[in-house]
Amino acid sequence: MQPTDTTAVLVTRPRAGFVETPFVRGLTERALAYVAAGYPVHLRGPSGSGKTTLAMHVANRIGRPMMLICGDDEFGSSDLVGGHYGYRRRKVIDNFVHTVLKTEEDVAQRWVDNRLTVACREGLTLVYDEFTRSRPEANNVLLSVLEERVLVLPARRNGSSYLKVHPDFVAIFTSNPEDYAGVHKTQDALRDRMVTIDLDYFDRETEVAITQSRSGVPLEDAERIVDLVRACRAAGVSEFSPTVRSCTVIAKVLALRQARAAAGVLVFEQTCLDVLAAEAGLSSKAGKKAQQRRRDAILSLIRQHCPADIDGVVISLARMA
Amino acid sequence: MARIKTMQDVHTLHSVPGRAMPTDEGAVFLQLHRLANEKLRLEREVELWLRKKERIEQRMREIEQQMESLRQLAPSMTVESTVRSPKQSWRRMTLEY
Ligand SMILES: Nc1ncnc2c1ncn2[C@@H]1O[C@H](COP(=O)(O)OP(=O)(O)OP(=O)(O)O)[C@@H](O)[C@H]1O
Ligand SMILES: [Mg+2]
Repeated sequence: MQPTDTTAVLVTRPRAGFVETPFVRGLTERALAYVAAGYPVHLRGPSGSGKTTLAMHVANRIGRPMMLICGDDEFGSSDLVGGHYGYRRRKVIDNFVHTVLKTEEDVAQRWVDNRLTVACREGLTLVYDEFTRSRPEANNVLLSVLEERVLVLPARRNGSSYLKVHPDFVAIFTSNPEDYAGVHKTQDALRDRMVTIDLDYFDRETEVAITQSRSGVPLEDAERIVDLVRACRAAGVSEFSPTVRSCTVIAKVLALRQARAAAGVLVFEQTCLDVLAAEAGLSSKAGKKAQQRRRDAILSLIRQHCPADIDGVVISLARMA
Repeated sequence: MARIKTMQDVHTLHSVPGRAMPTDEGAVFLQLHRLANEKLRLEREVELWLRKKERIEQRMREIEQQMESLRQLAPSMTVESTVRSPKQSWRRMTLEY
């Protein structure tokens, strides 16, 4: 990755649809307390548990500009710290004695800072999303940053140098638990230097609030969708545990098609099946059978959690199903 | 800082203290001669040291000058990270979450 000369810093801002339920506020305050005590915070949880959003929110509350790094298997430590990129040519023309023209030319390697270095130097808030996707060797440079608050820059021509980390520098990490694919085991030394907050799926109240605010459906519909998705999650009918993202997708489609979340409403049932019954491979006969069982289970959960009697249901649509 | 031990800390026969005052004449002359020798040796040593000190200081001045001209020639070789002012122009981007 080739860094640019002018590094962009991010200023975070909650979207219009951002909700701060007691659940979200509780987590935010917990994280901020560790930050205030001088500890890096590590938000760990399954996909869709709101890690990234919470990290941004905590960064926003800290109030400093933010640097965002997303973990990547291809990362080397120079992607975090910076490195020498290309050469800078310098020419000295000495014409002091005007009968003698002396020119001297030499090249110097150009050093370019990367995001970690900028964050350490300027005291920004570093959000390192999915940091366990980077190889542990690439993250090693963080050890001294978190413990001794010193960033060791790689060797230059005149030896290696180091940078004292700015007192305002704060690091927030997120990761999926280690059994996820494409995730490197966290080095113990690194994890030992941060406070880990384990996140689970949002509570019902928060899921309803997010679903409603992200889509604009009526509260009753949001509640029905969330209850359905939570039931699917608990029953394990979907191949992947459905998250609040599934709730939001279903709700947004309903809002767009002006349909209600009720059994018998074709648009609703179809969307639920598309979002919740999706599966990786379907070609085999056994796979098709499993898929049919999944769809039946979801339809029965729809009848249970989203009964047909809801005020203002468009009957004609219901009949069509 | 702990003082670094050198050859000077190894006591030779001459520098071992605590001998009694001589009593007979011959011994007095002998000791006078011995002390005069030692004084001469120490004077030479001081001279060597002063010359060495001068050489070191001269070399340090040369190094300083060399470093100064290198710095002017190669501003990029200084640790930019610690030199660059915090008021550098950041590109600010708003990120909504
Ligand atoms: N407080 C909130 N208010 C509104 N929407 C939210 C809130 N928290 C999370 N969301 C929404 O929930 C979804 C999942 O959140 P997020 O992306 O932060 O989860 P994640 O744990 O980082 O997931 P992944 O592991 O897949 O990256 C996103 O669409 C996000 O916009
Ligand atoms: Mg995320």
